[in-house]
Amino acid sequence: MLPPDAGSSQTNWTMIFTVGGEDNSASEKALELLARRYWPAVYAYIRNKGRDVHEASDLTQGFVCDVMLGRKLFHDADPKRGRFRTLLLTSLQNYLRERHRYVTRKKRSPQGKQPMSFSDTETNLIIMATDVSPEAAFNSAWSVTLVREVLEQARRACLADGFEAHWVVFEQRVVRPMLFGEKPVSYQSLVERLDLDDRSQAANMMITVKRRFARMMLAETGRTMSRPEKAMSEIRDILKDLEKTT
Amino acid sequence: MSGAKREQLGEALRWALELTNNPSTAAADWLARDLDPTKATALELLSDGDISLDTLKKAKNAFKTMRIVGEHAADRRLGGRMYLASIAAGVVYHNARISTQSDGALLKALKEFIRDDGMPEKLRELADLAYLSIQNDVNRNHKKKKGR
Repeated sequence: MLPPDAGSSQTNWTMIFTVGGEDNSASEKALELLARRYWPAVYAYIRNKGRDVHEASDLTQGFVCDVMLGRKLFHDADPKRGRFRTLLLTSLQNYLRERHRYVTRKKRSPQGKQPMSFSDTETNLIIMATDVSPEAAFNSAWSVTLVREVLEQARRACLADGFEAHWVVFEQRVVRPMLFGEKPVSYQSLVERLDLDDRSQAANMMITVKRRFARMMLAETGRTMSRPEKAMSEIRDILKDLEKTT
Repeated sequence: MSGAKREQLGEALRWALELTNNPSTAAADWLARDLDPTKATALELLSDGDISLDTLKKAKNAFKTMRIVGEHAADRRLGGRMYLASIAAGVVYHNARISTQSDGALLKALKEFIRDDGMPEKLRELADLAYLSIQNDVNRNHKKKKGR
């Protein structure tokens, strides 16, 4: 059985194999983790295909139920194909083509499984762009998911190691400006709030966490690859894809 | 998602590449970028003749701390080198001493820096110019004292 937060420490491919395994509770847990981690990218792709909020939510649920929870995607998954990102995108494109021809609402929910609920609030959190292709939207949402996942890992690691003040500096100077467009909190106010020696100490604390984050990013990206040593090239490819807007 | 947002996300991903490609300089470069986001590296920051004295003082302090708290020995060593390069930049670009170190200690450290072929050429030249400037000051003061 998987521990409660096993998702952050397992490779995506390991989770996929767990899905295909005989332990039903571990399998369901792994499925849910994968579905929760990657639905924003699925939703972003569908929205940028020109579907409205309701259609996109409906189709995202359909993909998660039919393809992810319905296990077809993971049963057919072959790590030799390399990237989980590519597998997910190709499967989604195939699903949308199929849906265009056949789907009925009844067919969408496999017996005995409840569709996962993605609230309107959650879907509204995905910032949609009108100027990008569906593939670019998918890659942007994928990157957001990856960055958020690693940030959470870094936060937990900092707190566990007694680096709480380090995390606060990193969060206020880097994370919140990056994710929410907020103005970085001044060093002076951080120095006072955290009772630090000076600005230099705060800046170096920020660098310490940034380095941890960078290492974790590399490791997490490696988990989406059949060969973790290819993580660098995957990051380069994600960056290239992020630069493409059409 | 806006272009700016994509750029910020890309920045977070690039940290992983920077750390892998240049593990020893990544920390110094990030500190430099934190001081002046228009500069990509510590080399770029410290070899800009238009850098303000205030930024140089902040850079000196940041690298001084890195010299003490850097994660690895290589980081601490690099922090020490960049600390000295910041002092040298103060002398060369502003004719100002932003350190309380003695002339002798500074000249000795700069001499070591100039000989360090692991350091970028531009910074070694900066150290060389600072060395000459401080040495001239020392000679002038020496002559003044003799003339009295």
